Amino acid sequence: MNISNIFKKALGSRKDVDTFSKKLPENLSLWYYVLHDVQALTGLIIIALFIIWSIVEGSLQIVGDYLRNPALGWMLLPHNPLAPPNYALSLKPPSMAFIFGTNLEGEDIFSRILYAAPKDAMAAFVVVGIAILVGGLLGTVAGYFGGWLDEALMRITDAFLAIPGLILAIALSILIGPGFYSVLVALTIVWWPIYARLFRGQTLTLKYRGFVEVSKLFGANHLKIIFKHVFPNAIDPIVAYAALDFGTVILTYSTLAFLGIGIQPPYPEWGSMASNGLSFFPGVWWYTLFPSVTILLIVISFILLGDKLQDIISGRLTY
Amino acid sequence: MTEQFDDSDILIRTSKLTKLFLASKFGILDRLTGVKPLYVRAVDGVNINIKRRSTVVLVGESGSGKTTMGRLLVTIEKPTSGEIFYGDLPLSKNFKAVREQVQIVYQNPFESLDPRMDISAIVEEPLLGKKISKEERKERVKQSLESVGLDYSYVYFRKAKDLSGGQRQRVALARAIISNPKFIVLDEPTSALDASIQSQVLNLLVDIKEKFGYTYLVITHNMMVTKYIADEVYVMYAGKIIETGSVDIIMKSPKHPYTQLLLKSIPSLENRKLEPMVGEPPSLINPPSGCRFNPRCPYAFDRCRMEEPELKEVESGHWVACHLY
Amino acid sequence: MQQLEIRDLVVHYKVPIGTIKTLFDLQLDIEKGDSIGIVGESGSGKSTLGLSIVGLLPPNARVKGHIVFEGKDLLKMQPGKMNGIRGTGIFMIMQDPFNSLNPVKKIKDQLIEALQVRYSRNGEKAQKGKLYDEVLKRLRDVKLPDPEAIMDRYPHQLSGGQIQRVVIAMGLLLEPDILIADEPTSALDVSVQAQIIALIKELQDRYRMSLLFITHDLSIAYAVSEKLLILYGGRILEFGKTEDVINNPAHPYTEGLLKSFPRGNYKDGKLYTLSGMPPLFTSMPDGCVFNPRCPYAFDRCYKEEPELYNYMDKKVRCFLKHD
Repeated sequence: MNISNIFKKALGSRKDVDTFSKKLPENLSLWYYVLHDVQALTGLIIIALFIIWSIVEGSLQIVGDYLRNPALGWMLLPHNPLAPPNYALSLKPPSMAFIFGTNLEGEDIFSRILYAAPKDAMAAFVVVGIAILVGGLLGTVAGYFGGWLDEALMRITDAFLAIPGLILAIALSILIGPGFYSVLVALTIVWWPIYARLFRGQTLTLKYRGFVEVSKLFGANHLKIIFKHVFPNAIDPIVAYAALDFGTVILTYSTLAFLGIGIQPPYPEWGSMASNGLSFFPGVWWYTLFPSVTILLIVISFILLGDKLQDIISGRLTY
Repeated sequence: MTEQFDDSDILIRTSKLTKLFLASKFGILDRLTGVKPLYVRAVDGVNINIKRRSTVVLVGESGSGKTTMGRLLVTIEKPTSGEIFYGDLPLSKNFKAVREQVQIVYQNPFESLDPRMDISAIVEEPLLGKKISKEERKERVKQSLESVGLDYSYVYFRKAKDLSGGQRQRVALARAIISNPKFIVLDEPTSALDASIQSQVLNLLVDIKEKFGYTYLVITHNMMVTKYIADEVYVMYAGKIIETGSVDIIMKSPKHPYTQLLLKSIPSLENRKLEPMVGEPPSLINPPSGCRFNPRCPYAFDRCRMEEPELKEVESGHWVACHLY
Repeated sequence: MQQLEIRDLVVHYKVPIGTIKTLFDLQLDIEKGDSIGIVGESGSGKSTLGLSIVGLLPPNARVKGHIVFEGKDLLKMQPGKMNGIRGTGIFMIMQDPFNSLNPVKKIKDQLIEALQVRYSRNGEKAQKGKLYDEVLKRLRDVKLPDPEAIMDRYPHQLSGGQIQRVVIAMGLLLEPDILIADEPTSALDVSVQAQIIALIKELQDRYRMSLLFITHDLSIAYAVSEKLLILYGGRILEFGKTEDVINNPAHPYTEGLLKSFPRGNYKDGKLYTLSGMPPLFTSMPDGCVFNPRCPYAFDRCYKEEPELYNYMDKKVRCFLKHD
């Protein structure tokens, strides 16, 4: 075999060099795109860690409460996040023992951040989840049937959306009383109208799509059409929005805590930790910085993932 | 067989069928202030007869009301006035029975197939309300997909997006025929397809019609498709039927100036020279007085602007709405 | 005279899963005053060809080869300089006319702006009144009824046919050497489509522009163009005089396509059909791109790809037409 032939063999035919001639996988899933994108993958990993930790830590706290042994709740943490004040350890900078430093009461900030995580995760998923269910049901029904039902629902959501969400949430949680669950209720009440609007908008375009009209010809009833065709097709773009929204809920939840609404001391919360530390800034920078960075990290992770999902679902990334 | 489809020669007949749409939202405030609502006269007093086992083609441009006409006939839209007779019974008397006998296939098969469902689930859908066992349903889905030339084992688990345009149109057709309808409306069945696929689908349509004895109403603006598939042709313009007759008559000796001009202005492989007509289709909110074609008609005279022409039989089986005849 | 030379044009698209090649070593010479119909099915690469000439491919596209216009290679040009060519040198009419106009500006202002572009490139100056008159003259050229009134309207107040005429008028104001029209009539009514086709043809003739008319419809290309280019799977399969290609197709694909056009009624017999479907860019067959559907395919067609051979007065990519 002479040299030019060897070269030809090594390069393959002209077509092989120039094209991506192998068959592409036929059915590329969402995951394929997410896992092949650095930003989305970063977001996904951080969110996954956050969720796994929240589940583990959250279950320990619940079991601890149930067995009247709260120490179970911090068995995985380096320090007790609810320790009584120990002013000897007050405001220590980050060190090997306290990697994020300590607060005024001498508690370990790192432990407190980890201890607070399950509540944030729960707030995000409960609020967005209920908002999707309630908003989705009302929005789909309103959009599908139209008429006075639609009119009434839209005026109600208008009223909700006219008041800034944060202010409404503050007013509601003060009305309901302090505590974690009252904040959840307040946030859910504030959150569902957005989803009702989103679902209604989707439904309005879907109900004139051919497959919905044809279904009527087959004698399918309205309920069947809504659950079989309208709702499942409406949910895709809303999932992407929801992924972004988890971050917003956590941010709002933390903002409320920052303002002193919601979970009460001595239980830690990222927002209230950031708020307490602010008065010591910049001298005791770690007190407010680490909780704030945690909030930022989680919110940005949701944005990275949600953005990508939105790109994929709206078709900007297909070819 | 249900009673409304008896053995009479005419399967579907409409009488002064009219459909108006609100041109803009007409809310409570408008009603209170006494504003008159504006209507789009999409279909305006149309009479058509569809013979059993024939293919009727409704030709017209966008906005001529041809799509609305098809939707009225398959009961997706409710007529504003006028009546549709299936056999001898009016639609209002036996709505449910009629619905089981009519089907529609849309222009864009991507629109009419639910993107989240498997092909087998899509095709199966019309059978779900009926008392049919699971095995029989599966068997009928298979038969139906095979009679439109699709390989059941290849498509049944796929989604619409995994198929090509021609295959999707076949799936839509398989779904339409699975419940053994009598009458199928085909809305631009080939216009979303590539040229080399169009003839495959046209052949298929003719095949299954002859095999199962369907009656078709084909809605199209494509004259070559019309010529190929039609028995009878209705030409629609601005919500009215302006000319009708057998396909030979309409294609070879059209009488209405609009039909004549339309045929000359459509590019074809036989005719390189185009002779476009002037102007654009009229607004249906405020159609021209008299004959609706008069602003674009080269032969229009005074009477055309004042008086609306009736559909008259100018020779046997050839009806034209024009003052020239 | 050679006006545009396309040599070895290759276009890839980068997608998350790799690169997809949509044009394969395309060669094309456009002479002054030519009118070429580019016909292809979906996924033939016909729109990519048009966009690569005007340099408006999406950012994930990679282009190789040469597109030489007036002695300059457009693909080697700085993006800023390309703006100088686009418009006055090469103008493109898009499929959806609404996208070509700015929705918040009056027709008058947009057309005058286009005209000023031309003047400033030629280093001339003109008064407002003169500009207005010239715009009005062009609007009359494209046979818009009541052009004075239309000048004062916004794009959304016009019908699709009127907008397409305004876009064509804009093209005329720029006096391009080459006009590319990508399916300019597919969003329009049948009766209006014929008007626009006739208009483009008439104006091309009058102003001696070269025309590239991209369409999926063989019969429209037949009505418009003098030369016909059949594109399939990113390759030219046949290129020659329109009459010649339509009446004596040389490539089996062109032949099959023409035979499959319905001419009579179903009672006269079945339509001829090409089996199968157009190839996807993600899975091109080996050898000739058309081999899976070709009724004449033989061994060689599956092994190597034919070149574009000269055959009679045409160019054909088929072994059967090469000794």
